[in-house]
Amino acid sequence: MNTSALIRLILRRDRVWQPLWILSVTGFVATTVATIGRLLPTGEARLHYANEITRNPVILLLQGPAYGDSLGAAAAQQRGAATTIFAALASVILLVKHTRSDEEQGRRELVGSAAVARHAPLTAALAVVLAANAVLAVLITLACVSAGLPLDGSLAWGLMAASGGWVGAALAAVAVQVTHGARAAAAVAFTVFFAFYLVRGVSDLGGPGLAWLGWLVPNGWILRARAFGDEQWWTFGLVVAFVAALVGAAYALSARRDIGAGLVPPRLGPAHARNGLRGAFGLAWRTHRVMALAWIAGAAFVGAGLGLGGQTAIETFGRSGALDFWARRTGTDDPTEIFFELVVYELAVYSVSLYAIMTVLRLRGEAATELLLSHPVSRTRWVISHLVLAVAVPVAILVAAGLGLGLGDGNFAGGLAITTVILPGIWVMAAIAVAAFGLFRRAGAAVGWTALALTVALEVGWEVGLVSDVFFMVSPFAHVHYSTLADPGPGTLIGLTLTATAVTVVGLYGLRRRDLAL
Amino acid sequence: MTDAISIHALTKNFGQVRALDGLDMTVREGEVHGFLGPNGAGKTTTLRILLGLLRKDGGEVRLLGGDPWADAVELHQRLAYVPGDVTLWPSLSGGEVIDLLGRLRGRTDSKRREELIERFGLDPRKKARTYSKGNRQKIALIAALASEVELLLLDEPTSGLDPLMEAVFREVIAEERRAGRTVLLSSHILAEVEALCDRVSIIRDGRIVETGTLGRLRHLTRTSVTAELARMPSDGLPGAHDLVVEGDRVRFQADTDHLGEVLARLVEYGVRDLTAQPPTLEELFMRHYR
Repeated sequence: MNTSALIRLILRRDRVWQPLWILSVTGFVATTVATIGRLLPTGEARLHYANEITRNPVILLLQGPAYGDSLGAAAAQQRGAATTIFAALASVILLVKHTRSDEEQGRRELVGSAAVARHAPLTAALAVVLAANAVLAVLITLACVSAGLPLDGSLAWGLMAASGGWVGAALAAVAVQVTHGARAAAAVAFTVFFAFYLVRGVSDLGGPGLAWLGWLVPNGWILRARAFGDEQWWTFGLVVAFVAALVGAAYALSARRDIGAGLVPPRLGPAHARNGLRGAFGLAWRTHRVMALAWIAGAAFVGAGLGLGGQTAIETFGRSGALDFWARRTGTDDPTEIFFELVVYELAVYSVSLYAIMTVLRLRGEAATELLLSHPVSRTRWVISHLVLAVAVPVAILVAAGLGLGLGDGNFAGGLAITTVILPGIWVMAAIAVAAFGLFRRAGAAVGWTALALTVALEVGWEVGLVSDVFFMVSPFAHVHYSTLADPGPGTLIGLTLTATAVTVVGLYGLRRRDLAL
Repeated sequence: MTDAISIHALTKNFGQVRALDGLDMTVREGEVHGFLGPNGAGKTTTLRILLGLLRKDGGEVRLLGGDPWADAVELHQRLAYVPGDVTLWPSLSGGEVIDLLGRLRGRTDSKRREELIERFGLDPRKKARTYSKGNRQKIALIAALASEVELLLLDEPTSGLDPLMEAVFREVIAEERRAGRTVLLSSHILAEVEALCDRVSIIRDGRIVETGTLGRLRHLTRTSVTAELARMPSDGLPGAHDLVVEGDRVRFQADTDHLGEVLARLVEYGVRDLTAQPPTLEELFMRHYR
């Protein structure tokens, strides 16, 4: 009852975000299919790509194998898995926003007291998110078809992306029933999705012998729909069954718990604060510590995995001549070295930037700001207490990753050099987030995330040759780039660090002059 | 006596909306000052300007001898604030929040803390996300009261408390007054203000429309009188407003300044019974909002 009114409410509240994420993912696919022909102009190049490049372990782990040597197959191999991640991320965030966040903020009670069925809010949120992904499928299909790709493969790619979103939404629907808070629910749902993603990667990495592993997780089914390569449509049936089962579980769990509570009963905390919980810095550490430690542990794990398993494989692979065209594009003589740096760079730069920006923008989401700043805590101190973590935790993340890389050949200094060189670039991103928060009372978060999206767009544009070398230098990461575009010496690193400092100062100055958004 | 807070011609706009429109207010040191007004009149905006969280657009504001915007950090060592809508850090326990806030201010009286937790009946071990509105308010109140500061700024601090806790709140504020602290109590619970405050300011649409002691405010307005008379006044009662005659009873309002003259006229008609009620704060308040 009244689910349709709730659906209209969600559409109204998300009238900007919904179209924005759908169009962004579609745009990502459209740019890929529009430029793939330039990257792989000849049939020979594509054959080489399908047979050689995609045997690379890191590519298998992150992107999956190529299911053909057509243009469409190459494009779907390169970006297909990424579209599932984007769709899942957006779906998790939106589903949690309209279920658990509403409960946390008391809006759910208001709705629940009206003539609304018990499950109506969950139904409405699921309906909107699932439908949004269906729209995404249609748009991706249209984008591919209009680029001249065959309809079958285009539709398969659209359904792959939508399946990512559907699985993400279904995981989130269960997670919001189990955890205590919205933030935890989103983290759990996305971590599970990403774990599935890695399981699929390990399966592809292991070759036919490990193929069964990929069949255990939805991400395996999604990729094995074989877009542009003799499509296996029935794998989408598995996805639908999986989503239906999770949604059923979510309703069952939802009927067994109280509004605002998780399934796990809340524990009591200490009656007194420990000595460490002191001042703005102690509070910031307490706010960020779980996330920070998880990121550092994850980085050590991925770094060690790459160091122990990947490095030799990548180097052997590099020497095979498969990477010569990459070497030409990036202007180097030694394809093995550059490829390893490329892999580390691509893994580290945007994920750690994401962490840094998220940490800074926590300033905006902090609801207890009014109480905190009525104490003798200056705005500058408050911002710096969070910024310190956005600066220091990336250091720890990249050092952990660098040491992990060194495990392979015992060259710890080399591992650290590859990872830590990007730090000043990360700091610039954190500083941009501070400036966005300081200068804009409402639009801070949007501006901060747009900055990250622009650097990704510049990177992708440069890779496919749409963005010139000179223009790419706008991005802080162009200056610490793996390619010969950059030769980051002390001067560059100090320059970037000074830029970050200057941008931070602008943000702090702005914040000292504006009203707080309370 | 010096002024803890003095505000002159304060203005604040939010875009097109004028929230404060030339507000004047003075809070003297050592007094409990009631800040009355309905929702949206500008009480919270005024308090947030006093805290330096919002920037004034015009006018003069002095707080404890300093500028609330420029000297915010120094001033905050000497005051405590309880927001109207208390939001805490969801994963911290109540006890942790109270200790953290005390340490931020640099002062904690742990004996006072335990005493207040006891009096307000708070379980400090619960996670902040599980507290009700009233309990979150208690945490902010305990943290503010345990800090032994000169000035307390309280924004509708009892709006979530039950009557029992409201009584505890009144006791505690009375103690604070005896200890010489200054309190600015924003409220729309008139009985609370009447019980606690030395002086009140009434705000309407971003301006103070009335300020002074309750006695003086009462003086400005009318007393309602009901009397039973031996015979009815034939030609009305000069000085009596809204006169209603019901059998041998009359009801009317009299200007407090002219009460004596009206009563003298009543005596001429043979008073058998008389009740005179000073205006309640509610009437004072309503007078400005009708």
